[in-house]
Amino acid sequence: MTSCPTCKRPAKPKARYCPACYFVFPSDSLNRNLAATRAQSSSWRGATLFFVVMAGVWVLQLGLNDPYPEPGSIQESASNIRQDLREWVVRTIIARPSADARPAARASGQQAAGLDNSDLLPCAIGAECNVVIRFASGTASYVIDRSGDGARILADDPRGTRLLNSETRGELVVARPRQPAQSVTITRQEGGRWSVVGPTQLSITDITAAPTGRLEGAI
Amino acid sequence: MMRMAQLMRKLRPQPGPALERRLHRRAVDYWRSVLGENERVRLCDFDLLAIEDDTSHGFLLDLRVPAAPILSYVGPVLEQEAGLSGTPVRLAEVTANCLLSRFAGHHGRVLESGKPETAEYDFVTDAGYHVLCRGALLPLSSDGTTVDHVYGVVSWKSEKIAQ
Repeated sequence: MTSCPTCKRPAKPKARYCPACYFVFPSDSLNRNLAATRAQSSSWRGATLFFVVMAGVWVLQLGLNDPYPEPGSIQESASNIRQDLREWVVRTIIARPSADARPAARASGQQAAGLDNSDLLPCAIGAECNVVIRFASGTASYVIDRSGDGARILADDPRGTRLLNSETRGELVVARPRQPAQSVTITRQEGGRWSVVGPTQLSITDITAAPTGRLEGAI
Repeated sequence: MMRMAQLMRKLRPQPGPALERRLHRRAVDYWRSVLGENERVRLCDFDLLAIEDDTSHGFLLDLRVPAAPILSYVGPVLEQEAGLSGTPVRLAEVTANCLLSRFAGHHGRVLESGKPETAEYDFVTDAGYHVLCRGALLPLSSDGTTVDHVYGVVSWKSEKIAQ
C-alpha cells in the first residue's frame, strides 16, 4: 500500500489521483501502486501453487506399495497417473535426442548445401549419416541429411562450410563399423548445389590416413 | 577557423518552440494549429495525444443528438474523479458535483460560438485543500461543417489551506 506524496494519506491500488488533496499521481507512482498490487497477488499465487504441488504429490504416492490396487479405487487412479507420467517422461525427455547429440551444424544454424542424385549415395533414405568429404585442399566431417526430399550436406564446423563453398570436387566417404568404406565422387554445380557423379570403392585405411605431407612433419 | 565556428553553430541543436506548461492553453493552441484556414476542425484530423501523452485529463462529448449528449471518451483521471466505470455514458448520468460534469456542462456555449471556450472553477476538499481547476472546450466536427463533438481538457492544482 502506497501513500499520497502530498498529504500522506494511503492511496488505493491503481489510483490516478488522491481524492483528499487532488494530487495527480505521476505515471511512475502509478507503476509503484500496480507493482504493490502485483506483489500481493503473486504471494497468493505462490501459496496456491505450493498447495497444488503438495496435493499432486500426495495423490501420486497413494497406493505406492500396493501392486494390485482395487479396480475403481483412488489407488488405481493414482497408479494410472503414475504410469502415464512415467511414459511421458520416457517419451519426451529420455527418448528425445538432446541438443548436444544433434549435428553441430544444425545446432549452430550453419549453412546446408543441397545434394542432387542422392540415389547414388551409400546412406539410407530417411536417415542422417556421418561422412567425410575429401577435397583437394583438405578433409572435413559432414552430416548427410536424407530425412526430407532429396539430400543436404551439413557441415560440422565452419572449416567444413568454407571448404564446401570454395571447392568444386570431392570424394564423399561413408565408413561403417566392420564394413568396407564406400565412396562417391561429388561435384559442385552452378548455384552452389552439389551432385553425386559416381561411386568408387575405398578401404577404411584410405579415409583414416592423413595426408603424406603432414606425416612427414610429425615424424 | 570562421568556417569551423559556423559549422559548429549549425550542428548545435537549435532550441525548439517552448512547450506550453498549461494544459488548457496547449489544447487551444493545438486546436488552432489544426484549424489553419479551415472553417471547422475535423474530428479525424484531431489527435488527442498531441495535447497530452496519455489523454488522462481529456474527455470527448458526442453532440450528434444535442438533447442527449454522450461522453464517448473520458480520460482515466477524470473517469476516476467522476466515479465512472466505463464509456460511453450519457452526460445526464454523471454525478453533478464532479469536475467532468461541471466542465462538460458548458458545451452549450461552444455550440453557440463554434470557438474554443475556457472555464475556471475552484473548491475546497474535506481534507482542507483548495483546488483550482481550469478547462478548455474545443469544438470539433465529424463532417467538416457542423459542430457535433466537443473535446475538453481539465487540469488543476491544489494548495493546502493555512490553518
